[in-house]
Amino acid sequence: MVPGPGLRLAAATGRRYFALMKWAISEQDAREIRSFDPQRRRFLGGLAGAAWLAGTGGVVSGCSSANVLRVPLAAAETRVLRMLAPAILHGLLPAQPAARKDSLDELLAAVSTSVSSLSSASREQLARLLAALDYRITRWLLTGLWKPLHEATVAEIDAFLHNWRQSSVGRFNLAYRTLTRLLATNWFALPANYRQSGYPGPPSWPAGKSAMREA
Amino acid sequence: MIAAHHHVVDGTRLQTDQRLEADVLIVGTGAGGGVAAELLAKSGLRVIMLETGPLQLGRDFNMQEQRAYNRLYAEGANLATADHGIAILRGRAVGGGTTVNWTTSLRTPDQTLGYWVNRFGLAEVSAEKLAPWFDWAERRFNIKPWGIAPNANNDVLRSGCARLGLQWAVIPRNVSGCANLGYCGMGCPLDAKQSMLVTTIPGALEYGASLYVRTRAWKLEIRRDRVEALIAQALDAKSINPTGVTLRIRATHYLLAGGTIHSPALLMRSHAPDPYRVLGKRSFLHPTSTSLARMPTAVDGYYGAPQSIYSDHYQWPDGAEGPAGFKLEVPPIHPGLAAGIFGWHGRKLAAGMQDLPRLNILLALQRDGFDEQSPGGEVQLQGDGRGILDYPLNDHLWDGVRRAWHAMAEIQFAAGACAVMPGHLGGEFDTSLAGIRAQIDRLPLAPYQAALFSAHLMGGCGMGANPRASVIAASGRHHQLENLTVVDGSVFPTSVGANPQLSIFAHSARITTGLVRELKSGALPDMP
Repeated sequence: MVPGPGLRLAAATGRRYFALMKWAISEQDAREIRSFDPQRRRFLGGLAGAAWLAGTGGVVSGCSSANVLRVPLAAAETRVLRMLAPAILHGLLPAQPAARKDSLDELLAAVSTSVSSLSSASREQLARLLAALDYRITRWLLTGLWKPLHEATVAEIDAFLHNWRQSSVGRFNLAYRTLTRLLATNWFALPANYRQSGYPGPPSWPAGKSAMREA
Repeated sequence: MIAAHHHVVDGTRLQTDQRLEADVLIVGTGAGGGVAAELLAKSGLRVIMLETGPLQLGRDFNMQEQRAYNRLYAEGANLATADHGIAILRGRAVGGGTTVNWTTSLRTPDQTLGYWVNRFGLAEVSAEKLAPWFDWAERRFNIKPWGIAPNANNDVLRSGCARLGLQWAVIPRNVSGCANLGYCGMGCPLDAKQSMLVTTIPGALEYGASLYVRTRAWKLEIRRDRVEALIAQALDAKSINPTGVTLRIRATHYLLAGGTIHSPALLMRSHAPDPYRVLGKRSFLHPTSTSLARMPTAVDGYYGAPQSIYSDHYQWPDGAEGPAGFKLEVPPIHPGLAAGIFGWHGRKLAAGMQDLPRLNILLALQRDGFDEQSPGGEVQLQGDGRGILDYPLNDHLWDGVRRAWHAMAEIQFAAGACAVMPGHLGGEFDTSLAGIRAQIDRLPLAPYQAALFSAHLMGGCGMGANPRASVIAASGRHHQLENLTVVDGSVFPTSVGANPQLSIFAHSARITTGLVRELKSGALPDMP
């Protein structure tokens, strides 16, 4: 039997609640929270991490994680990454709107290829993190942002990324490393962006290289 | 070269279940499996090789990072330990790590072998007894100290060490006709690297062996103390998900060469006897920290042999045991890899990456497994039955990381660096040695903050005389299973203390030759 939308919503909400509870009683996280700087607690909403930290799946908003895992990047995931990119790649994206869109499209295609190489376990962890950023309550808990990411300014996204980087809670550092690495590695590895790092690109072998051949 | 007349089967294309037979079935085609395959096939035994990854040849290697990482590395180069504390670069294609490694070919250090002899009762692997096997591998894979001047990235390590009076040496490489391009990590486009892909695997195929690619060894059928068959899964085009087609392969002898995660995981899934709970334990990975330097002139670390200089000055501070020793080397500096090492975002990332041509990076590879405080990690099975490496980070390791940052910064400044920064989320470039020393002492040593990497997985099916403390005997034979032998890096009872490929070549050749002589007396007269 296929459950109706109301039942699905109730089930999803229940799973989220369960996930929050499960997280709340996790001993390691309790330790991390106890050692937490109260100044930062407000931004982290106290219940840091919520959904993506929980051990079980099913916190992916809108659809089950099984559905997400079948595609390289789901639409909602692409949307989240697209909103993060201008902050992570600040000053690197073209200013002109059409060129910017093309650039982001190319980046997201590359990210999608990377994601399709992940094992299902890693893929699910990423799905959980991106879903948590997409879903209002978990986003607020993780970033302090109640409004949708597409309404957030680059400065606001930059600010929570900074907080993640400097946090003393390891999993925020991990979330930071995961997302910045996914976008930055793929960005700089794109031939169109080589000039931004001053990388001349691979040598045009064999022309001009034969003189360097080993004796 | 692998040619059209060779028997190569792509698991993705199989439509029906297969039943196969062989004298010897080899799981994995990296340094261990590759060497074994050629020797076994040459002796006249019928050999089947299984490889999870795809077959990619020199003409497929276009020196583009993204393509290489996605096709040739486990998880598109996003593999990590269980808690993601250490990022792992692990080759996953025909040729395994040898297809993508940076060609560094160092012998197992004498100190390591001495430790194995004394601590694990392995008289068979003393430096003296292994010497002919290293000689053999060096001839087979054309391993010689690199005869061309190091690139500027490696020269930072050389000149820094030279000015400080620290030991350094030239790295031997397994290349023939190398054009000094610098793209070993993306697959050699010239077939100059003497990887398994262009040496022993075509060699084995020429002697009549079969190779199944995109095929994952899933389970051994074990009856009492013998393996009866192996069940393998054909995989999809990305080599990730099973297509549903299975292969059942019966062999006289089974040779595991899937490496430190996959060899123990296969045995665990198969409920192989493990009466003393040692399987998967003592897994090591040379936890590697980084130090970044901005040099006054162009380094162009993306070009030229990626690794040509190393220093063992800090490798054996108090002999084998005690505080962690570390080997110093450099990585190639391509933009995608460098952006990942920076671990930054926004303006700071843009500013850091802008200086890529002047960037030097040093690596400190910690020698793990030699001290009580360095027990290594443990291979475990995840819910989906696949292996994962759990590697807890402890104070012994962090102490080594901190000392390594100090040592690397000092060398970089001695080599003329304008500014140096430790690989840490809180790291900042500092223009003075005093400043960077203060920063290093201040930075919190915590997972995810300190950038840790590994390109060397070792242990997990450790070799030893005592079955209570090891998985296999010195002969490579499983202590409890009479027709199963392990020939990959998982056999090492500690980390190697050097890039492991030459150690794996030598051990695989030694173990396989012994096996061949047992299965087919009189064969392989040319071997030591």
